[in-house]
Amino acid sequence: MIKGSRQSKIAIFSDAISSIKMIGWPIIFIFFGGQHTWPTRIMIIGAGLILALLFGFLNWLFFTYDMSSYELTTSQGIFVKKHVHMPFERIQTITRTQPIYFRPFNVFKVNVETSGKNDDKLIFNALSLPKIEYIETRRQEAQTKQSDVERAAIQPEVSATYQINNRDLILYALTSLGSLGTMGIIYAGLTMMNDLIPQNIQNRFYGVFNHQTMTVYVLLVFIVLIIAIAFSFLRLYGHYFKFTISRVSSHLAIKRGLLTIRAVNLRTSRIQAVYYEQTLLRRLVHLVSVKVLLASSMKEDEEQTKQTTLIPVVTERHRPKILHHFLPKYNFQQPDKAPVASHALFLRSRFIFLLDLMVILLLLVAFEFMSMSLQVTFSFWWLVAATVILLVYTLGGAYMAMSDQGLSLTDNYLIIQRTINYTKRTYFIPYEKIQGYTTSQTWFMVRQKNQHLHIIVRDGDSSQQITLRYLKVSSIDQLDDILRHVK
Amino acid sequence: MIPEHAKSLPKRVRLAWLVVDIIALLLVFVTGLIVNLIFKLDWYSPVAIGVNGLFGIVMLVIIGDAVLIPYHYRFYKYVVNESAVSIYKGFIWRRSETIPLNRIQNVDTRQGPIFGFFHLQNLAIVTAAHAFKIEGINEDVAQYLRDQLIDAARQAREVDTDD
Repeated sequence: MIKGSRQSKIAIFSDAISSIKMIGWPIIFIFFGGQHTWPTRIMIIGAGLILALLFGFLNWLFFTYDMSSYELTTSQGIFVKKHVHMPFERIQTITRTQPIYFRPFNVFKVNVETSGKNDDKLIFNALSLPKIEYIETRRQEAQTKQSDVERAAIQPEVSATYQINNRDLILYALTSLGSLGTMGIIYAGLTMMNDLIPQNIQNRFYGVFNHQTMTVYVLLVFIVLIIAIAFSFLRLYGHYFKFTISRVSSHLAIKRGLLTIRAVNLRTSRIQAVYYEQTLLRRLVHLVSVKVLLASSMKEDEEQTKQTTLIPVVTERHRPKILHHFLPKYNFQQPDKAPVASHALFLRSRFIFLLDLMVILLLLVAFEFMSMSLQVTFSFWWLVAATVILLVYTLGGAYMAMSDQGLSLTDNYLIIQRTINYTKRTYFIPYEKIQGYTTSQTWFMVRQKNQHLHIIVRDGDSSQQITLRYLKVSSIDQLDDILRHVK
Repeated sequence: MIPEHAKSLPKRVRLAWLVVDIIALLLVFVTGLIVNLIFKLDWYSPVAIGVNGLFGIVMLVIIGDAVLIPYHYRFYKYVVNESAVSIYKGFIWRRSETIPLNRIQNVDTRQGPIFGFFHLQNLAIVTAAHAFKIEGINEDVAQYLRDQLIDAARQAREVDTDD
């Protein structure tokens, strides 16, 4: 029994750092903008830091928690008091995060979630390990049924463990397309620098830059690309470093990270669907990522997205064997070809082609408008090149999407395979997790007796639609019959 | 394919939708007028053409919606049976939505002043992931469906899929 406790004082700094991130940009803007003297600028920075610390201190002071044998209670707020009561039995996920600066103090950021929809979660900014273990123990006690206790006496505590090997992790990082995003960030950073660097230095730089040969420009682009790939590689490598997944009874424990260690403990009943993901690049090297859609009260932010990765990378050959250890009830068979209409590929390609024509028409109008009104001359070949690239990309995508479509109705699972933007995903959805479904068709599709099917599954705090196109109506009727009778 | 026993909405919903569209049209028109008067827009300036063009497009959309009321009404049906609730919309672009009864978490009824005047209600059926609406049904039917759906959802047994 813990009553009226406060978090570790590290929470003050953690909160202050979050506040600094929030007020950082306005401070930088004030710092560089205007004609401030250096003492004024230092005062601005000092005031910002003091404000952030004060904010952190007040948050720490007015945040208390109680832990009884059956529930966790938090109280927070200065003017408006908010009390949250969370019975241990209802806890679905406990996520611990330990940034590098937390390690000397042995404290963690902790996120406690239930399966509720409306921000039904508790966040501790800095909690010591004994307190986290207390929550874990109470949760396990509250959620252990008699049958589990009996089983626990026979079975070892950890049923299965898998740790990613270095070779696979390196392959995963190398086959990631994240470097394109990193290039974007580098470009945004350079643009921002452009606003901050004094004009005379900028002029000197442009003077040097404008007098280079084509070879130098190509070299520069190549260097930026190498830096982007290296950054992306290091980011992913650090992110999934020593990625370990273990199954303990009906829970999965996932631990990963180099600088910031993140540990997630989730109940398997929260899993709404398991899916394999394979980008075009990874298809060539036969690697697959295994992810899950989870019921969660968290908003779909970056952390949540990362949390849904069950196994970052595994070879196609070892995939079923490894997954069986962690989700033994799932049937990870390959789906059959989806029963699509006889001209499905033609219909889809025609639709995409018509969409492309509209885009090209808009491009042509914009091209003419800019040539006439702005007196800017463009080479007509740019438009031709853009058209060819657009047609090849979208029609190629449509071909892959239609040829990859798969559907199987097994005893307990709906298995769907689809490809969007050249990324193939194979979903394994327990029937009882399907929340509903939608069908759509145009008047022209009625005669051919085919429909699009959209399966609705919970994903985080909202829903995800998984779509199969141009299916025969008879196969949808079969699914309809199953879904109506599954409890 | 719409089942033969699918139910239509009450006929007065057409009038309620028309009133909603007329009020929306008036609101957009008055807002456009106020913007023109406050900013003293010159009718031939590019800004005025852009702003008024935008108001004009919104008004055309609303008029289009009002013109299509008989079409929407004719092809808007719903079915509630012992296993699922479904709605069917459209003829040229057809769409059907189905929720098995045991996925229903909550059923809400909503009524604004216009629907209140016509004794109509919107029924929102909520699952763990999403929600869908049956728009403009009779108050007594809405209450009956609400009770029926809540009962069915209560009876659905809980599923425990822990490994």
